[in-house]
Amino acid sequence: MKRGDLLEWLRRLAQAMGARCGKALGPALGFLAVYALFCFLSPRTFMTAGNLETVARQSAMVAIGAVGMTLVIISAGIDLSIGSTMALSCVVTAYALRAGASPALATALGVGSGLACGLINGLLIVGLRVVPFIVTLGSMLVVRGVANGLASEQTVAPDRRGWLDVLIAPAAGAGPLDAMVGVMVGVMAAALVGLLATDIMVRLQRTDDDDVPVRLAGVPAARIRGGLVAAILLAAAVATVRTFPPGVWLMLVLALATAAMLRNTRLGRHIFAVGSSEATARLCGVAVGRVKVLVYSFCGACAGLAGVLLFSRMRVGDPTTAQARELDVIAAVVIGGGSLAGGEGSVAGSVIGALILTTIDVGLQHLDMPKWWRMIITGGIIIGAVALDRLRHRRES
Amino acid sequence: MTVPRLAMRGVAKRFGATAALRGVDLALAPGEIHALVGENGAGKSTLMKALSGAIRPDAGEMELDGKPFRPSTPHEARQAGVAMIYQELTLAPHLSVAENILLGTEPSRGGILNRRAMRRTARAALTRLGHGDLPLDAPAGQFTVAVRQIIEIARGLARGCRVLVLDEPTSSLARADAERLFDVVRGLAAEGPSVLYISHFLDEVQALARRFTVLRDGRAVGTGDVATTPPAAMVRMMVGRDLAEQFPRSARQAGEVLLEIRNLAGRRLPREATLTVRRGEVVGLAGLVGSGRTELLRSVFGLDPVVRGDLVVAGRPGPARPVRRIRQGVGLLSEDRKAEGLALNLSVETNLTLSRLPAVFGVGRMEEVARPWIRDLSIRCQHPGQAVTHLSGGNQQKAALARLLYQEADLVLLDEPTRGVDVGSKVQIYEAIDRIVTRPRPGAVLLAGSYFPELLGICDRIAVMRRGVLGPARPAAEWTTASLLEAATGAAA
Repeated sequence: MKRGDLLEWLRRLAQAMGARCGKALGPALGFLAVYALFCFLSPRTFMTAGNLETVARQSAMVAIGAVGMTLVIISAGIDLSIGSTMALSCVVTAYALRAGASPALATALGVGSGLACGLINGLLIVGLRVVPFIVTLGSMLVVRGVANGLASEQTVAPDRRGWLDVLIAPAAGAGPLDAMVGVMVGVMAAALVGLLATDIMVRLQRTDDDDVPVRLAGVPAARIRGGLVAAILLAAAVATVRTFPPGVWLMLVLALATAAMLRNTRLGRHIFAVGSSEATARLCGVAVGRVKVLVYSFCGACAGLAGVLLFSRMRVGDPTTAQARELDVIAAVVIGGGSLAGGEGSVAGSVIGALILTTIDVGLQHLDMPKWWRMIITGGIIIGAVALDRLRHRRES
Repeated sequence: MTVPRLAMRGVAKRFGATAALRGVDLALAPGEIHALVGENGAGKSTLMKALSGAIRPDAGEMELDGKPFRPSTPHEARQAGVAMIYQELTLAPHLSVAENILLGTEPSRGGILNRRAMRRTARAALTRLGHGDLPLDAPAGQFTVAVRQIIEIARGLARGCRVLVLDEPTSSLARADAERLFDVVRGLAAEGPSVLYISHFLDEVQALARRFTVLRDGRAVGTGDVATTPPAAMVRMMVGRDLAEQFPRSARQAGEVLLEIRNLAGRRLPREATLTVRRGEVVGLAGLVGSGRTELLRSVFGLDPVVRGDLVVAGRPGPARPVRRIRQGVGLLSEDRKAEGLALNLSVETNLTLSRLPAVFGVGRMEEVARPWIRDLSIRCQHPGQAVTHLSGGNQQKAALARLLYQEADLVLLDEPTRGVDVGSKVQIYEAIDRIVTRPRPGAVLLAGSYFPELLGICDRIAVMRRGVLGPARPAAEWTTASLLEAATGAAA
């Protein structure tokens, strides 16, 4: 092989890897770097499996909010009301339990209250043609007021909470790294490497991007890929269930489903189209108003679910909780590659953004940094991450 | 005669007191390339808006393949088979090529996209346009204007368009790209769709179209075969009007040189410009929209970069930023009054004093400064504190001009100063321009415009810009409307 061929091969390899990992690659590398940094700084306390579990648990709420917010931001909108919505859902859940509802019904009511807030936001934005920033700034106050009124400005403490107690509680009993989980992680890693290799081989083989199915050793590449993906999902599911409380799996399932929706459905493409160029979307017959209402409703429902998790953690319905939480959520989306100008963003990136924020918070706690330092550093990282992303954009164009 | 692909009969539209269309007839045969020509303001864009469903005509009817065609939204027109390619392209930059081509008509089952069918349709449409090799998964925003245009045409094809309307498609294309586009359009028309081609460039019309229609003052004043009609005859049809405007003009005396431009080129436009402007004269920059006039003015003022060539302003060489230019006594009136020329939400007095404001000023000082200008230019407003956005177009423009006058700019750069301005205000603007060059210490005016009778009336010398290249400046008396139009459209070449 000549040197030029090798270089060309390497170039295509890099391109293929970039295409595979997409927009989430940068945030993922950032997460690994941040995590490694804290492991290095406090090896004895931070570099433990138990700590990984803590990070996952603590980020679940922001991550769930960020999944919904991702859609809003891709559609060139913003939702400032979700912190208040989380508090309302938290109070509604507690209130329902106290009134004798089953945990399932209480959860449904909590999520439903969030959905209702989002629906109203969406209808106001579309119907009144007021910009989302203003509508949701207003509803942030309104919803917070409703939550306070419903709770009579006190915490609501139900006696029976049923399984809502363990929704996001630290996994009891089974150690975070039992033998089973170890095996599963091994399986996952192997399958992931196999998947990347398959994909890269496919991309290297394919000369143009036509629809001729590529075969590897006689087997259609799509089938190999499908098998590997199934293996990863299965192993991940087993490992997750054994390691993490249900709140974390809920977050992962929600994220996967939403990512698939964005990628593979008409609605997903229309959300991107509305954010990228609303006039074009309208011209091409996209029901812009309906897309927006759906997006805000979904975001509200996600905030509602996050509120239920919040209740599960605190075991009381507190109407003053989650103040300014919407800003963490927006930061997670933006760190994950979302653009407030619309048209850009990914669910995977946003979830990783939430993980980065939590890691920094937990890591600085491990270093015994005072809280004010944590605020300063987190703020700096938000600005730095977005500035880096802009720089990359400019180079591309 | 066979049923025309598109027939328009007596289409009329009024906006308030002005009649934009006074009953236009137009017929397009299947597979025909038909050129629509006319001066700015002749009614072309209104006609296209009616055809594309953006506005509803007040009277008249349209038929598509013999069936009534009354679109009430752009989407309806598209569904019926009329695809518009506007000057400002309408692609979603973040979506891929394939997604843009099928936006709104994505093949799907139960909401789940069928990506294979999507790619196949997109590929087929692009192949018909001779661009089958475009990467379907790349974001549309990364391509050049020429390629994005092809993607838009493909979007029309993927929906089975029967009439393709191209509005000034080559105004932002390089020559070679324009030639490629012509090949695409010819190939397409040979397969069935009719093409309505709107252009200012008569050489393009000659090269591409079989028949043409001339619009003037909202009427179709002529139609015929391109092959048998000389360009000069087309120009006569476009211009033929009585000029009733009045152009106030006092005796002027050209003095020292204020602006000297030598072989200037910007990033894309202008490509080559050489011009001298002296105190006490109004120099006209004639040219069509997109010819590079605006960019030349912006380069002089420091808003656009100067890539090549020399620029000497008031004896000081070299490019400079707008802040320095204003200190050197240069003022620019933007063609885009609403976005750039004025801060619409702010008051008349604030706008008027914006570029010459002392660091500290007392209460009422701004009003005191603004009053005489409001009186001099007869700006009709309730009081100097009224927001500019509530004023009529003409009064807004006078407020913008008053800012330059108060700034006491020596070199005044005006870009389409009378666009969208009523007749009365126009005359007042002409008077203000005349005063700039005849005051005790006269200034100089460089005025860009595409309305040629006006340029002939108020300018001392006129240079014509065409496709980024500025011709020599000649005394206004040596030009006629027809010769300006010929030079600007390249009909004589």
